[in-house]
Amino acid sequence: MRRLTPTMTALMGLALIAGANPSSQDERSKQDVDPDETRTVWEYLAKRYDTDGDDKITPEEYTRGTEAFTRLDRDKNGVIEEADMSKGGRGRGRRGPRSRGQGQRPEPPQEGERAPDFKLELLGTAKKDAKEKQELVQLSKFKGKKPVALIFGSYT
Amino acid sequence: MKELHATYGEKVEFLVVYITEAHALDGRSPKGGADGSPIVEEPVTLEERKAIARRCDIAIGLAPMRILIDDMKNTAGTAYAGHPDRLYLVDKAGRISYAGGRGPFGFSPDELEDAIRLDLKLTPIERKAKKGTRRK
Repeated sequence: MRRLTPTMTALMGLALIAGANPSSQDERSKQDVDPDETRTVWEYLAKRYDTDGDDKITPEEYTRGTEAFTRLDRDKNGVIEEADMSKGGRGRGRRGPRSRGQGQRPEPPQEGERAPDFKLELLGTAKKDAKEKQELVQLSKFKGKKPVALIFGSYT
Repeated sequence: MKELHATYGEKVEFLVVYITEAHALDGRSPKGGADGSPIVEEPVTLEERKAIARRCDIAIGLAPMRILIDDMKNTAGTAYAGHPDRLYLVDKAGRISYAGGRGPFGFSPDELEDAIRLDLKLTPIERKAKKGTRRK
């Protein structure tokens, strides 16, 4: 679930027409910046947040909270700039002790154990989800009916 | 995965559980843009997560597998240690008959298929042994 196929590139531009999400708290509409039409992370961030166009994103301009701002401001100079993008951040927290609580990996359930139940929203189209009540799918409802293959993942 | 769904989808329910991002640009292990990976901010609302899941669906083509969206407490992802990606098979009795390793190295569609064929009492597929151990 991590790779873009070349044949899908042409469809990217259509994605945000239906998938653009107006429910964010940001003043600037997400429809203004299509992440799939920006080439770099800095280009996306600058378009999205650098409202005064000075190539620096201040805490006042950045609307997604202090924790994320701090992670992006990698040189800790109080602003997010293009230079921060080349300062890594990858791999942080992956090695080293995990006994500090935050970032500690949960233990996966084991074969033979009862599958933890969940009830989650089924993804529809943006239009459908906006108009209709969300359909919920509960794992335990499949008991006695058919086995279930669960594929956990994300776009990145 | 789509091939597995095409082969076994009538007898097995395939559910994609969309969880927290593995490499959001504002996350702990950021990627995006110049390296070819998608530019994604970690969603802070369910609607944002759904919008990203739709981008993913269009880019990768998950349909006709159904996509479930984990809640913003990451309930399912945590219960199954699904981050960054992982496969499971739950049998008809509601028990875990296959628990895959942690992705990316432990993410094995072949192992899932073997588990499905075992569950459906189909002849096992002969595969060449792979080097390395399954990461749990």
